[in-house]
Amino acid sequence: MILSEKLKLHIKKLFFVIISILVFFGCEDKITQVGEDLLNDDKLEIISLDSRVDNINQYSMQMNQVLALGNASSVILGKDTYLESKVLLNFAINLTTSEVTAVDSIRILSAYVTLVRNYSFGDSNGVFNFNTHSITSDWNPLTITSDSLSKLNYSSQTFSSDLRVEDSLVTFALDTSLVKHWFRAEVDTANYKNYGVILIPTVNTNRFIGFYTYGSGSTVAKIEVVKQKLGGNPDTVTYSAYSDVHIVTGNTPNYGSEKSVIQNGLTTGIKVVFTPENIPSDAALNIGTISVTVDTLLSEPASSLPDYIFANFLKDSSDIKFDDIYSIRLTREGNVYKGNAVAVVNKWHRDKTFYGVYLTSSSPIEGLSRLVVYNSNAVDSLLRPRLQLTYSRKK
Amino acid sequence: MMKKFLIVLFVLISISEYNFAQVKSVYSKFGIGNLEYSNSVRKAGMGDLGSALDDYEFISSLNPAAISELNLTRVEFSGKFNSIYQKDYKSSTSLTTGGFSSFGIGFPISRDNGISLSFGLNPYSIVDYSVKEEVFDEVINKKYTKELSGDGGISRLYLNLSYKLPFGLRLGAGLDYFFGNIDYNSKLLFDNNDDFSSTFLQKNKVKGTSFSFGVISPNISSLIDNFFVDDLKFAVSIQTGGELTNSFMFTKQVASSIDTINSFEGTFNLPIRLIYGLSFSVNKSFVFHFDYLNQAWTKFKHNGLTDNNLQDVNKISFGVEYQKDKLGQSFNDLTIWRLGFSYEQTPFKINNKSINELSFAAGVSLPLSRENTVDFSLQYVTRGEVENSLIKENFIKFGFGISLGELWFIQQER
Repeated sequence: MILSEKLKLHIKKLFFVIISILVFFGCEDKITQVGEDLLNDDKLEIISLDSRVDNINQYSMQMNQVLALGNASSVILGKDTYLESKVLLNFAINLTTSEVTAVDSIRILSAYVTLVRNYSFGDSNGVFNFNTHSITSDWNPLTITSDSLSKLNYSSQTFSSDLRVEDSLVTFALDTSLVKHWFRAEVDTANYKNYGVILIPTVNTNRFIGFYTYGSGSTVAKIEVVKQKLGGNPDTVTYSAYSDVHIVTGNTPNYGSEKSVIQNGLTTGIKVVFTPENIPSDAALNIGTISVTVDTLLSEPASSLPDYIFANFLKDSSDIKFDDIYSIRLTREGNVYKGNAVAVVNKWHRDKTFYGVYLTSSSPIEGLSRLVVYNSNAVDSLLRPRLQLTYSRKK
Repeated sequence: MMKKFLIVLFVLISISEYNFAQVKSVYSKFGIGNLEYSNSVRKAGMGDLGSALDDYEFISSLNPAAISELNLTRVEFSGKFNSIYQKDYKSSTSLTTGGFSSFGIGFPISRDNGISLSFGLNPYSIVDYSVKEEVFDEVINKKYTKELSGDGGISRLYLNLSYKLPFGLRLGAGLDYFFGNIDYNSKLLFDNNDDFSSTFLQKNKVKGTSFSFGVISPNISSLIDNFFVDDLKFAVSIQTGGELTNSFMFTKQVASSIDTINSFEGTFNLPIRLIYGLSFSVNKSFVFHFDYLNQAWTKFKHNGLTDNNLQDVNKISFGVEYQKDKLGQSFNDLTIWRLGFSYEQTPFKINNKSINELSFAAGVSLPLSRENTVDFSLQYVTRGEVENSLIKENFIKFGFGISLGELWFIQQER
């Protein structure tokens, strides 16, 4: 025996302790700064581009996105120099069994429509008036748009009177013959139709008022009908609107070639296309920022500019189709809306195509507010839409 | 005993994903990385080389002819702890790393004819560095970190065969299979989640075969009358190097999206490695060796391109080993003590300055029995300089290993 068993055991234990330490704690992943100068050739090149100073071409154009406004929280009626908003309403007429059998003998003594206000735009002291026409073709509040409005048929005859505009309500009388027609439509669907009414502002109207819509509960538009059965006493019944929508037509104000408008209701937005050149295909885009400057004096209402707008990534060069994943929120800082576009610019860089972003309100179907934005034609380059990029690449 | 050891070794290696001892040196960025030579604890304790040493108690991977004296099936395993101090002109750091160094197994097939077979795995080169630079960019008004790292290396799986001619000339030949991944990472990291960090990865997957040849002369001390040395031998070994294939892929990652920028099949052209060795013994107890190694890294080509940051390697090594009585019975008789020294012109020539390395070493092999030893080595290595934007590096390398011998295939004569 060369080595005592005890000593041999100690040596073995020591050896396996060393191996265990090596396996489990052997490597220290410490990152230091020593020697970084020797790796200058390996360091990433960091390049920043700014459309204000670098060669990034851009153009912008105002574009109208046709949207149905059926999901808006207000139906807006009114008119000003640029816009006109019509309202379509349809009431659910529910007859009792006895009324169905004796519908011809029912007399409609009066019918008043009540609209509860929740929105106002434009000159609060302006004229507000409208005519009510009976709609004679079918419509769907979720699909009808300014484009399809021309296909809607309605009578030339007006059925409203006794308009009262109060602080919280707007009421008007509806021709009882029209209501009787709707009663008959509940019984005889072949010869009578109830497609509701369309409210069209008169030419001299110069303001907009918005009203609660279907889904708002008790504040939805109602029609109060006083009816009388043959030989019976007058009876008052209220019917609620089950279908309502407003349709905005017209044009945005023209503020000159340097400014474009994001117009709610009309659902107008601004397409901005940047064409940064000379970004190598092997570059990794690390930072991307898009910002736009608004004219706060021309925007309406100037006192309550939205906190943010959206820049949606366009999927097509001619149509307004978005890739919803790449929607950028531009948050307001003073008169500048700015947002992180790094995901968008990476997609653009990856796809090698960039159809631009579409600047739109955060809720374009709501209200009629407008944001006046300096566009790519702004003479002062500091006011133009701005793209800032930082990319890295291997030298 | 040996079989149990192999099982434990296999488990440990599996757990560690065969983690070779790291070097944590920016110099390893250049060429194919930090070059490793013997990977044996014995050699580490006596100057890192020793191509003419043909002792039966250890497996040499430097010279295929050196295994001709094996008389038992022998398994060797070694690992390393490195304590590193690095300094450049603006900062310094110290860190420790560790990992496995090598594994080898050798079999005597015909002891009379010096026919032995060995195979093993050890690192040929190691790439291991990671540095960072924190930057505040005034243009974008943001802070970011540039991180550069490299890891991997080329491993060498060898199969050596030796043969001894009747007059004592030992010949050896080997087949080397080189393989490994060398990855270079360049990262740009932002502190916030709004901006996308990016990673550029250059991945080299290398593989290929090469050959080793070696020769060790017979003892020529007897040719000289009254010569004070004994067992005087000369050795030459050559690793042919050659062309390795390199599957190169260059990718960029931004956020979670990975794109391939470039990929192709390229080559690594390893230069020939030549080692000239001399060994002799004095008074039967002392064994000396002198070695010179040359490898023309100026001829190295990576995908057809030479590297201006490389130079030819010239390494001289000297070592001495003392064992009181090889045939003794006591622990003291069989314990082997070692001292060594080496000076190397490393393959790195950075900023037109040659990076030279000086190493002092000591070691000991403690016998567990006549056939089995536990080996330790301690090296102090210094290289580089602070001037010329270079790095001064001091290493203390602690090596440990085990060398086990057992009869496996040859019936013991009784």
